[in-house]
Amino acid sequence: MVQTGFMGGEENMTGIIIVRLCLGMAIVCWVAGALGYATARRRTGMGLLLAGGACVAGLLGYMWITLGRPPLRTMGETRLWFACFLPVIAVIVHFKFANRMLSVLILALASMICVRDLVDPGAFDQTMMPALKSPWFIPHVVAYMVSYSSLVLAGVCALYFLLAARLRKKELNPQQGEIVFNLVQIGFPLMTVGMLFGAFWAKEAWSDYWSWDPKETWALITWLAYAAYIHLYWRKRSNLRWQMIVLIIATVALVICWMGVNFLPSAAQSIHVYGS
Amino acid sequence: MSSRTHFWQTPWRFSQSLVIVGGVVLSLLAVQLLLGGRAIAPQYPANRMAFAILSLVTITAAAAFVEFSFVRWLGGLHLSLACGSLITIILILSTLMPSAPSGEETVNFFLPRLHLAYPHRGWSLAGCLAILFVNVAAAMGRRIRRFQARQLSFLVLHGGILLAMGMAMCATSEMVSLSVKMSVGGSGTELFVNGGKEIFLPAKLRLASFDLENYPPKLALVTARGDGRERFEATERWCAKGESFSWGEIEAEILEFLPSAIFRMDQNGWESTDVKGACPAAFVLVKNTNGRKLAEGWVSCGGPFSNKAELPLGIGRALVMIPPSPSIFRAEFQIVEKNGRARRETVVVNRPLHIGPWWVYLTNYDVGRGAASRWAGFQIVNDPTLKYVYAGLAMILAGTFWILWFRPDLWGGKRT
Repeated sequence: MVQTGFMGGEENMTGIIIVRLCLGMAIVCWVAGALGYATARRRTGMGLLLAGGACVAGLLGYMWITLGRPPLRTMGETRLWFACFLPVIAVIVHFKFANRMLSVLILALASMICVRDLVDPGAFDQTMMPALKSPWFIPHVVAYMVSYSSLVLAGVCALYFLLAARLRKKELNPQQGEIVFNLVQIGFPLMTVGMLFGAFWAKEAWSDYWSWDPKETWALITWLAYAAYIHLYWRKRSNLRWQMIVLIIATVALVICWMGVNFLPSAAQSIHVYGS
Repeated sequence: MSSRTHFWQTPWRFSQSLVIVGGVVLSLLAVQLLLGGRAIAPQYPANRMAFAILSLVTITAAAAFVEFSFVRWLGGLHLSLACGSLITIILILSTLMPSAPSGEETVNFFLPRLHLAYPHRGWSLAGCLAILFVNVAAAMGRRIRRFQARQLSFLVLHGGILLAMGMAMCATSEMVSLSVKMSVGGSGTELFVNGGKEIFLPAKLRLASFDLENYPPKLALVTARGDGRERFEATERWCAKGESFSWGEIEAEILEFLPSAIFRMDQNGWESTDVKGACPAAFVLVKNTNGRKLAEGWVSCGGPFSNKAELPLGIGRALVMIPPSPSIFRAEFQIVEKNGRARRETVVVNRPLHIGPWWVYLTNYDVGRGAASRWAGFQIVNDPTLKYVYAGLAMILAGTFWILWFRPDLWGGKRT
């Protein structure tokens, strides 16, 4: 059995160097990529975006081998997956919308996540509680992380479009609504997959597919919020500004579900607190 | 003639819907405050009949009277959004309430009666869900009346929501769940009793053995603080022979590691053993960064057969071993069926045992004794609605992808 941790202070210098090197390289690639997009060098931007994604993917692979378990357990690890999937969404955005500003936003978001992990990587522990040893574990978390990448990006875009429209004293245009909706279109079905796979897993592990645990409750709140946005978007007479506001509220719910549930008063009895 | 409209003039919109659903929620909260108790669903088969009749009547009525403004409101988006908003508020409130230990109520008078911390037990959430159920059914009725092939995805998704939600509500009265403790090596039985509830399984169960595997333990440096509390710094790596750890100026090296050990009083030392439930122990050399030896000795987290051992490092500091986390625990059953055929099956977390319609889950054991636990705890569950709920969830999954992914506007050409 591999018994090498790599983020334990002075315990393993090689591990620390690899983590910092990969994250540092990803940040440099993405900042340079953002500059490339900002200065209309789209191909360079795309290349650097993929290179940064490869750095994070490589780090995840290294962690998977070194820890002897899928690196999907802690908050720091899920953040890395989020940063890894953002470039995938960026590729779709690149080819579908060719919107430079959107690509810059994605790269800025991915860089911020990596900086967060560089400053506070969290505990990278090898142990995995028995309930997590399930075939549902990887698809459940991966589906959620891909959906989060797309949905958080949609929320950030909505906020950007709203602020930009307000500052320029212009109306939002339907194309902006379409961009944001397309991102939700990608993410929402995957979020449904994540939630339902979680329910199937809970039935196998804890005898109940839904136990109104705070994490589950917030997952449902988030799902309802995005469903409300989708319904509003398809309603012909609904106001674009209101759609964006509902989407931003849904994104706030998502962030609470992902990162904030552990801080809620009800979290003390939660079965979803695996350590962050 | 005045052009002003009064609030309740049709067509009703979001604000009217919110007032109506909010009124229902507040009325149900008032009833609950007066009566106490938890929301009770009708028993089988009345629950399934109520579910079928309510869905069919609503769908048919909505299809038949689609031109009525009330029906349009009943199956419309404004009512969905109002229900969704109130469900969200109730759920957010529930997560802001501190949970009482072991899921029981707090000492406060109002909170337990209102079930704010456990909304699924309360009438207000049940009322909101019932209105949403009718809303979804009416929306389906409207689509069926004006049916076109492209609306099939809508019907699959919303039919799935209706089926999953309805059958999950039925499950609250139909599901049988019992927590039981079984002794290792005890006699076989098909009758299980707890809290006045008893169930018969279609086969006799005997807990033949219980086994537990742990991860290796970790070391921690404990430092006493001025305020009487202790600072606890654990290693991230596991203990193993030859491993070394450091905490600032303190360095520790494991010279000997026994994964399963027992303390021998007669020899005043630890020795390796095969006894089930024995604890790990490590012989550690502690030095400072200058290479000066600070201490040397055994540390162990202790177990059912040995006390824990700490290594003092001067005033207010000690090296301790953290009890290992369980990696896997399993119970082996001997199952004797009605026809006398016997078989053995192992139950682990995430892999329950299936006996007819019953699912047997391994839930706990005597943590203090670890692998030497003399009993194991199980949850025995029968949920006759499960296959229908799963069918509903599968329809939701298929419908969501169908509606959102299989559209030309998502994968269409480049837009600039």
